[in-house]
Amino acid sequence: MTHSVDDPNERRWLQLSALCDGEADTAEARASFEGWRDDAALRARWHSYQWIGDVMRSDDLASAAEHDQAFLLALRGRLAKEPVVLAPARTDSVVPAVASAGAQLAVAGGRRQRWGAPMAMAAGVMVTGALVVMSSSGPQPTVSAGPVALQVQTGAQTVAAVGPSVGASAVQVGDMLRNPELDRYLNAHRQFAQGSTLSVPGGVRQVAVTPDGQ
Amino acid sequence: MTAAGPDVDAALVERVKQGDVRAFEMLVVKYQRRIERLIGRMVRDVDLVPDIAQETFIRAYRALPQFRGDSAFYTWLYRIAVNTAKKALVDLKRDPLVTDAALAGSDDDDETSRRTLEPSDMATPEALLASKEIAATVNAAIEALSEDLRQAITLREIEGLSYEEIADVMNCPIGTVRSRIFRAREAIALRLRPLLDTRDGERW
Repeated sequence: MTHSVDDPNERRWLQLSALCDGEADTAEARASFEGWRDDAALRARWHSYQWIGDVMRSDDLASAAEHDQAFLLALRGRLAKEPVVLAPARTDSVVPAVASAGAQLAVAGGRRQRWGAPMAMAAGVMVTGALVVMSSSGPQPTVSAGPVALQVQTGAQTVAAVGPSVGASAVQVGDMLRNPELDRYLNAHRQFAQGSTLSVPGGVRQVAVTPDGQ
Repeated sequence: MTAAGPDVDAALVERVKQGDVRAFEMLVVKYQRRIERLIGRMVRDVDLVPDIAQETFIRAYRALPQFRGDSAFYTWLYRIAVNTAKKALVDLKRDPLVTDAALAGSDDDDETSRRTLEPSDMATPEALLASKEIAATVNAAIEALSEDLRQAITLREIEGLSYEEIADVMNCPIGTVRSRIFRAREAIALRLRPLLDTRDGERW
Protein backbone atom coordinates (compact mmCIF):
# COMPACT_ATOMS: atom_id res chain seq x y z
CA MET A 1 0.00 0.00 0.00
CA THR A 2 1.50 3.28 -0.99
CA HIS A 3 0.39 6.63 0.22
CA SER A 4 -0.29 9.10 -2.54
CA VAL A 5 0.98 12.57 -1.69
CA ASP A 6 -0.83 15.33 -3.51
CA ASP A 7 -0.47 18.08 -0.96
CA PRO A 8 2.75 20.02 -1.67
CA ASN A 9 3.35 20.59 2.02
CA GLU A 10 2.90 16.94 2.80
CA ARG A 11 5.28 16.06 -0.02
CA ARG A 12 7.94 18.33 1.44
CA TRP A 13 7.51 16.80 4.86
CA LEU A 14 7.72 13.34 3.39
CA GLN A 15 11.04 14.33 1.85
CA LEU A 16 12.12 15.77 5.19
CA SER A 17 11.26 12.50 6.88
CA ALA A 18 13.43 10.66 4.36
CA LEU A 19 16.28 13.11 5.01
CA CYS A 20 16.03 12.28 8.72
CA ASP A 21 16.92 8.72 7.84
CA GLY A 22 19.55 9.54 5.24
CA GLU A 23 17.24 8.21 2.52
CA ALA A 24 16.51 11.39 0.59
CA ASP A 25 17.93 11.79 -2.90
CA THR A 26 19.89 14.89 -3.89
CA ALA A 27 16.92 16.91 -5.11
CA GLU A 28 14.84 16.04 -2.05
CA ALA A 29 17.67 16.92 0.29
CA ARG A 30 18.17 20.24 -1.49
CA ALA A 31 14.47 21.02 -1.16
CA SER A 32 14.64 20.34 2.55
CA PHE A 33 17.72 22.51 2.99
CA GLU A 34 15.98 25.36 1.27
CA GLY A 35 12.86 24.70 3.29
CA TRP A 36 14.82 24.93 6.52
CA ARG A 37 15.91 28.38 5.52
CA ASP A 38 12.43 29.73 4.76
CA ASP A 39 9.79 27.47 6.26
CA ALA A 40 9.16 27.59 10.01
CA ALA A 41 6.68 24.70 9.83
CA LEU A 42 9.32 22.53 8.22
CA ARG A 43 11.82 23.47 10.92
CA ALA A 44 9.30 22.52 13.60
CA ARG A 45 8.73 19.18 11.91
CA TRP A 46 12.43 18.44 11.69
CA HIS A 47 12.62 18.94 15.44
CA SER A 48 9.54 16.80 16.05
CA TYR A 49 10.79 13.92 13.92
CA GLN A 50 14.19 13.92 15.61
CA TRP A 51 12.62 14.32 19.02
CA ILE A 52 10.30 11.35 18.47
CA GLY A 53 13.22 9.16 17.44
CA ASP A 54 15.21 10.18 20.51
CA VAL A 55 12.31 9.52 22.88
CA MET A 56 11.63 6.15 21.29
CA ARG A 57 15.24 5.18 21.92
CA SER A 58 15.60 6.58 25.40
CA ASP A 59 13.19 8.18 27.84
CA ASP A 60 15.86 10.45 29.25
CA LEU A 61 16.12 12.26 25.91
CA ALA A 62 12.60 13.58 26.37
CA SER A 63 13.71 17.09 27.17
CA ALA A 64 11.36 20.03 26.89
CA ALA A 65 10.99 21.51 23.44
CA GLU A 66 11.51 25.05 24.80
CA HIS A 67 14.95 24.08 25.96
CA ASP A 68 15.84 22.79 22.49
CA GLN A 69 14.58 25.98 20.90
CA ALA A 70 16.53 28.17 23.33
CA PHE A 71 19.66 26.13 22.68
CA LEU A 72 19.39 26.58 18.94
CA LEU A 73 18.68 30.30 19.17
CA ALA A 74 21.73 30.82 21.38
CA LEU A 75 23.93 28.76 19.10
CA ARG A 76 22.61 30.55 16.05
CA GLY A 77 23.88 33.79 17.56
CA ARG A 78 27.34 32.31 18.02
CA LEU A 79 27.39 30.76 14.57
CA ALA A 80 26.60 34.15 13.08
CA LYS A 81 29.96 35.36 14.37
CA GLU A 82 31.86 32.44 12.87
CA PRO A 83 33.38 32.59 9.40
CA VAL A 84 31.53 30.40 6.94
CA VAL A 85 33.27 27.06 6.60
CA LEU A 86 34.17 25.97 3.12
CA ALA A 87 35.87 22.67 2.54
CA PRO A 88 38.40 22.84 -0.32
CA ALA A 89 37.00 21.23 -3.43
CA ARG A 90 38.95 18.21 -4.58
CA THR A 91 40.01 18.10 -8.21
CA ASP A 92 41.81 15.38 -10.13
CA SER A 93 44.62 17.67 -11.21
CA VAL A 94 45.62 18.68 -7.73
CA VAL A 95 47.38 16.23 -5.50
CA PRO A 96 46.55 16.37 -1.78
CA ALA A 97 49.88 17.97 -0.91
CA VAL A 98 49.21 20.74 -3.35
CA ALA A 99 45.73 21.25 -1.93
CA SER A 100 47.27 21.50 1.50
CA ALA A 101 49.81 24.02 0.32
CA GLY A 102 47.08 26.03 -1.34
CA ALA A 103 45.01 26.02 1.82
CA GLN A 104 48.00 27.20 3.83
CA LEU A 105 48.59 30.01 1.39
CA ALA A 106 44.93 30.96 1.54
CA VAL A 107 45.00 31.40 5.30
CA ALA A 108 48.42 32.99 5.49
CA GLY A 109 47.16 36.52 5.15
CA GLY A 110 46.64 39.10 2.49
CA ARG A 111 50.31 39.77 1.90
CA ARG A 112 51.16 36.21 0.95
CA GLN A 113 48.04 35.97 -1.13
CA ARG A 114 49.03 39.09 -3.02
CA TRP A 115 52.46 37.68 -3.82
CA GLY A 116 51.25 34.16 -4.52
CA ALA A 117 49.90 34.82 -8.01
CA PRO A 118 52.88 36.87 -9.32
CA MET A 119 55.31 34.30 -7.95
CA ALA A 120 53.42 31.53 -9.64
CA MET A 121 53.48 33.44 -12.91
CA ALA A 122 57.20 34.14 -12.58
CA ALA A 123 57.91 30.50 -11.89
CA GLY A 124 55.81 29.55 -14.87
CA VAL A 125 57.84 31.89 -17.07
CA MET A 126 61.01 30.26 -15.79
CA VAL A 127 59.75 26.83 -16.67
CA THR A 128 58.59 27.99 -20.07
CA GLY A 129 61.91 29.64 -20.76
CA ALA A 130 63.88 26.62 -19.71
CA LEU A 131 61.84 24.37 -21.95
CA VAL A 132 62.31 26.76 -24.84
CA VAL A 133 66.05 26.66 -24.29
CA MET A 134 66.07 22.91 -24.25
CA SER A 135 63.89 22.50 -27.31
CA SER A 136 65.51 25.24 -29.43
CA SER A 137 69.17 24.69 -28.75
CA GLY A 138 69.23 20.91 -28.80
CA PRO A 139 71.76 19.01 -26.75
CA GLN A 140 73.68 21.32 -24.49
CA PRO A 141 77.27 21.02 -23.46
CA THR A 142 77.72 18.56 -20.68
CA VAL A 143 78.82 21.27 -18.32
CA SER A 144 75.56 23.25 -18.47
CA ALA A 145 73.00 20.53 -19.21
CA GLY A 146 72.94 19.24 -15.67
CA PRO A 147 72.21 22.51 -13.92
CA VAL A 148 69.58 23.56 -16.50
CA ALA A 149 67.78 20.25 -16.21
CA LEU A 150 67.85 20.55 -12.47
CA GLN A 151 66.52 24.06 -12.66
CA VAL A 152 63.64 22.93 -14.86
CA GLN A 153 62.73 20.14 -12.52
CA THR A 154 62.90 22.33 -9.48
CA GLY A 155 60.94 25.05 -11.17
CA ALA A 156 58.21 22.67 -12.23
CA GLN A 157 57.76 21.43 -8.69
CA THR A 158 57.61 24.94 -7.34
CA VAL A 159 54.98 25.97 -9.82
CA ALA A 160 52.97 22.85 -9.19
CA ALA A 161 52.98 23.60 -5.51
CA VAL A 162 51.95 27.22 -5.93
CA GLY A 163 49.78 27.23 -8.99
CA PRO A 164 49.09 23.79 -10.42
CA SER A 165 47.28 25.02 -13.49
CA VAL A 166 50.22 27.12 -14.64
CA GLY A 167 52.81 24.45 -14.04
CA ALA A 168 50.76 21.64 -15.50
CA SER A 169 50.06 23.42 -18.75
CA ALA A 170 53.64 24.53 -19.18
CA VAL A 171 55.01 21.05 -18.70
CA GLN A 172 52.44 19.23 -20.78
CA VAL A 173 52.68 21.42 -23.86
CA GLY A 174 55.48 20.19 -26.06
CA ASP A 175 55.73 23.02 -28.60
CA MET A 176 56.05 26.27 -26.78
CA LEU A 177 54.88 29.55 -28.17
CA ARG A 178 57.91 31.67 -28.99
CA ASN A 179 58.21 35.13 -27.59
CA PRO A 180 60.96 37.18 -29.31
CA GLU A 181 61.57 39.31 -26.28
CA LEU A 182 61.80 36.28 -24.07
CA ASP A 183 64.12 34.59 -26.59
CA ARG A 184 66.49 37.55 -26.50
CA TYR A 185 66.54 37.49 -22.76
CA LEU A 186 67.15 33.79 -22.62
CA ASN A 187 69.87 33.86 -25.26
CA ALA A 188 71.68 36.56 -23.35
CA HIS A 189 71.28 34.59 -20.19
CA ARG A 190 72.60 31.45 -21.85
CA GLN A 191 75.58 33.26 -23.32
CA PHE A 192 76.35 34.73 -19.96
CA ALA A 193 76.11 31.34 -18.34
CA GLN A 194 78.35 29.73 -20.95
CA GLY A 195 80.82 32.60 -20.74
CA SER A 196 81.13 32.40 -17.02
CA THR A 197 81.48 28.65 -17.25
CA LEU A 198 84.27 28.91 -19.78
CA SER A 199 86.02 31.55 -17.79
CA VAL A 200 86.33 29.32 -14.79
CA PRO A 201 86.29 25.82 -16.23
CA GLY A 202 88.07 24.25 -13.36
CA GLY A 203 85.47 25.34 -10.87
CA VAL A 204 82.42 23.88 -12.63
CA ARG A 205 83.57 21.26 -15.01
CA GLN A 206 83.21 17.71 -13.90
CA VAL A 207 85.68 15.11 -15.09
CA ALA A 208 85.64 11.36 -14.81
CA VAL A 209 88.35 9.93 -12.68
CA THR A 210 89.54 6.41 -13.33
CA PRO A 211 90.65 4.14 -10.54
CA ASP A 212 94.26 4.57 -11.55
CA GLY A 213 94.03 8.28 -11.04
CA GLN A 214 93.87 9.32 -14.71
CA MET B 1 21.35 -4.31 14.28
CA THR B 2 22.19 -3.58 10.73
CA ALA B 3 25.73 -3.38 9.45
CA ALA B 4 27.23 0.06 9.28
CA GLY B 5 26.13 1.64 6.03
CA PRO B 6 26.57 5.11 4.62
CA ASP B 7 26.41 7.89 7.18
CA VAL B 8 22.81 9.08 7.42
CA ASP B 9 24.14 12.60 7.87
CA ALA B 10 26.34 12.60 4.77
CA ALA B 11 24.07 14.93 2.79
CA LEU B 12 23.82 17.41 5.66
CA VAL B 13 27.55 17.38 6.29
CA GLU B 14 28.30 17.93 2.63
CA ARG B 15 25.88 20.82 2.53
CA VAL B 16 27.60 22.48 5.49
CA LYS B 17 30.95 22.01 3.80
CA GLN B 18 29.56 23.93 0.85
CA GLY B 19 28.97 26.87 3.13
CA ASP B 20 25.35 26.41 4.24
CA VAL B 21 25.32 27.32 7.92
CA ARG B 22 21.62 26.50 8.19
CA ALA B 23 22.32 22.87 7.35
CA PHE B 24 24.53 22.79 10.42
CA GLU B 25 21.54 23.96 12.45
CA MET B 26 19.70 20.85 11.31
CA LEU B 27 22.53 18.74 12.71
CA VAL B 28 22.37 20.70 15.95
CA VAL B 29 18.64 20.06 16.34
CA LYS B 30 19.25 16.40 15.63
CA TYR B 31 22.06 15.82 18.14
CA GLN B 32 21.76 18.50 20.79
CA ARG B 33 19.80 16.28 23.23
CA ARG B 34 22.26 13.42 22.98
CA ILE B 35 25.26 15.68 23.33
CA GLU B 36 23.79 17.42 26.38
CA ARG B 37 23.02 14.07 27.96
CA LEU B 38 26.58 12.91 27.37
CA ILE B 39 28.06 16.07 28.85
CA GLY B 40 25.61 15.89 31.74
CA ARG B 41 27.15 12.58 32.70
CA MET B 42 30.64 14.05 32.75
CA VAL B 43 30.26 17.27 34.71
CA ARG B 44 28.83 17.92 38.13
CA ASP B 45 27.74 21.46 37.48
CA VAL B 46 24.49 21.29 35.52
CA ASP B 47 24.80 24.96 34.60
CA LEU B 48 27.87 24.09 32.57
CA VAL B 49 26.13 21.56 30.37
CA PRO B 50 24.50 23.90 27.84
CA ASP B 51 27.67 26.02 27.60
CA ILE B 52 29.88 23.00 26.96
CA ALA B 53 27.38 21.66 24.46
CA GLN B 54 27.40 24.99 22.64
CA GLU B 55 31.18 24.99 22.61
CA THR B 56 31.11 21.44 21.26
CA PHE B 57 28.99 22.45 18.30
CA ILE B 58 31.09 25.54 17.62
CA ARG B 59 34.24 23.43 17.60
CA ALA B 60 32.60 20.89 15.34
CA TYR B 61 31.53 23.63 12.97
CA ARG B 62 35.05 25.02 12.77
CA ALA B 63 36.58 21.58 12.24
CA LEU B 64 34.00 20.31 9.78
CA PRO B 65 36.12 21.02 6.66
CA GLN B 66 38.63 18.51 8.04
CA PHE B 67 35.96 15.86 8.67
CA ARG B 68 36.67 13.18 6.08
CA GLY B 69 33.78 10.86 6.84
CA ASP B 70 35.99 8.00 8.04
CA SER B 71 33.52 7.58 10.87
CA ALA B 72 29.89 8.55 11.25
CA PHE B 73 29.34 12.23 11.91
CA TYR B 74 27.85 11.47 15.31
CA THR B 75 30.90 9.45 16.36
CA TRP B 76 33.10 12.37 15.38
CA LEU B 77 30.83 14.83 17.22
CA TYR B 78 30.77 12.56 20.26
CA ARG B 79 34.57 12.69 20.53
CA ILE B 80 34.57 16.45 20.22
CA ALA B 81 31.99 16.64 23.03
CA VAL B 82 34.06 14.40 25.30
CA ASN B 83 37.23 16.39 24.62
CA THR B 84 35.44 19.70 25.10
CA ALA B 85 33.98 18.57 28.40
CA LYS B 86 37.35 17.31 29.62
CA LYS B 87 39.02 20.57 28.65
CA ALA B 88 36.31 22.58 30.40
CA LEU B 89 36.80 20.53 33.54
CA VAL B 90 40.56 20.95 33.42
CA ASP B 91 40.13 24.67 32.93
CA LEU B 92 37.88 24.79 35.96
CA LYS B 93 40.21 22.48 37.90
CA ARG B 94 37.36 20.18 38.66
CA ASP B 95 37.29 16.42 38.68
CA PRO B 96 35.24 14.86 35.94
CA LEU B 97 32.42 12.62 36.91
CA VAL B 98 32.43 10.09 34.13
CA THR B 99 29.99 7.26 34.45
CA ASP B 100 30.63 3.78 33.18
CA ALA B 101 27.84 4.24 30.66
CA ALA B 102 29.48 7.32 29.17
CA LEU B 103 32.84 5.60 28.88
CA ALA B 104 31.26 2.51 27.36
CA GLY B 105 29.67 4.64 24.70
CA SER B 106 32.82 6.41 23.66
CA ASP B 107 33.12 4.36 20.50
CA ASP B 108 29.42 4.31 19.86
CA ASP B 109 28.42 5.33 16.39
CA ASP B 110 25.05 3.73 16.69
CA GLU B 111 22.35 6.33 16.77
CA THR B 112 19.51 3.94 17.25
CA SER B 113 20.47 1.77 20.19
CA ARG B 114 18.35 2.26 23.25
CA ARG B 115 20.03 2.38 26.61
CA THR B 116 18.27 2.42 29.91
CA LEU B 117 20.20 4.89 31.97
CA GLU B 118 19.73 6.55 35.25
CA PRO B 119 18.58 10.12 35.05
CA SER B 120 21.42 12.59 34.87
CA ASP B 121 22.14 15.01 37.69
CA MET B 122 20.74 17.84 35.62
CA ALA B 123 17.23 16.42 35.76
CA THR B 124 15.08 18.40 38.15
CA PRO B 125 11.87 16.84 39.51
CA GLU B 126 9.85 19.05 37.18
CA ALA B 127 11.95 18.09 34.19
CA LEU B 128 11.69 14.43 35.12
CA LEU B 129 7.93 14.71 35.32
CA ALA B 130 7.77 16.44 31.95
CA SER B 131 10.05 13.81 30.43
CA LYS B 132 7.84 11.03 31.75
CA GLU B 133 4.79 12.70 30.30
CA ILE B 134 6.44 13.09 26.93
CA ALA B 135 7.65 9.49 26.93
CA ALA B 136 4.22 8.23 27.94
CA THR B 137 2.60 10.26 25.17
CA VAL B 138 5.01 8.89 22.58
CA ASN B 139 4.44 5.33 23.77
CA ALA B 140 0.68 5.80 23.71
CA ALA B 141 0.89 7.28 20.21
CA ILE B 142 2.93 4.32 19.01
CA GLU B 143 0.43 1.90 20.52
CA ALA B 144 -2.35 3.68 18.67
CA LEU B 145 -0.66 3.25 15.29
CA SER B 146 -1.72 0.60 12.84
CA GLU B 147 0.45 -2.50 12.82
CA ASP B 148 2.13 -1.51 9.55
CA LEU B 149 3.05 1.98 10.72
CA ARG B 150 4.19 0.80 14.15
CA GLN B 151 6.40 -1.89 12.67
CA ALA B 152 7.94 0.48 10.13
CA ILE B 153 8.79 3.24 12.63
CA THR B 154 10.08 0.71 15.17
CA LEU B 155 12.34 -1.02 12.67
CA ARG B 156 13.74 2.35 11.68
CA GLU B 157 14.10 4.16 14.99
CA ILE B 158 14.78 1.28 17.38
CA GLU B 159 16.42 -1.32 15.17
CA GLY B 160 18.14 1.15 12.87
CA LEU B 161 17.30 -0.65 9.65
CA SER B 162 17.57 1.09 6.32
CA TYR B 163 14.51 1.55 4.14
CA GLU B 164 15.70 -1.26 1.91
CA GLU B 165 16.06 -3.62 4.85
CA ILE B 166 12.66 -2.63 6.21
CA ALA B 167 11.16 -3.26 2.78
CA ASP B 168 12.65 -6.75 2.85
CA VAL B 169 11.32 -7.44 6.33
CA MET B 170 7.86 -6.08 5.60
CA ASN B 171 7.77 -7.45 2.07
CA CYS B 172 6.71 -4.18 0.48
CA PRO B 173 8.24 -1.54 -1.83
CA ILE B 174 10.69 1.00 -0.45
CA GLY B 175 8.27 3.79 -1.34
CA THR B 176 5.72 2.24 0.96
CA VAL B 177 8.26 2.04 3.76
CA ARG B 178 9.09 5.67 3.26
CA SER B 179 5.41 6.61 3.37
CA ARG B 180 4.65 4.51 6.44
CA ILE B 181 7.52 5.96 8.44
CA PHE B 182 6.45 9.47 7.50
CA ARG B 183 2.84 8.86 8.45
CA ALA B 184 3.87 7.27 11.74
CA ARG B 185 5.95 10.32 12.58
CA GLU B 186 3.11 12.64 11.69
CA ALA B 187 0.66 10.69 13.84
CA ILE B 188 3.00 10.71 16.85
CA ALA B 189 3.83 14.39 16.34
CA LEU B 190 0.12 15.20 16.33
CA ARG B 191 -0.25 13.62 19.77
CA LEU B 192 2.83 15.43 21.04
CA ARG B 193 1.81 18.84 19.77
CA PRO B 194 0.05 19.94 22.98
CA LEU B 195 3.26 19.19 24.87
CA LEU B 196 5.39 21.23 22.54
CA ASP B 197 3.97 24.35 24.13
CA THR B 198 4.28 26.19 20.89
CA ARG B 199 2.23 26.41 17.78
CA ASP B 200 3.53 24.78 14.65
CA GLY B 201 6.50 26.74 13.42
CA GLU B 202 6.60 29.26 16.20
CA ARG B 203 10.14 30.27 17.12
CA TRP B 204 11.76 27.55 15.03
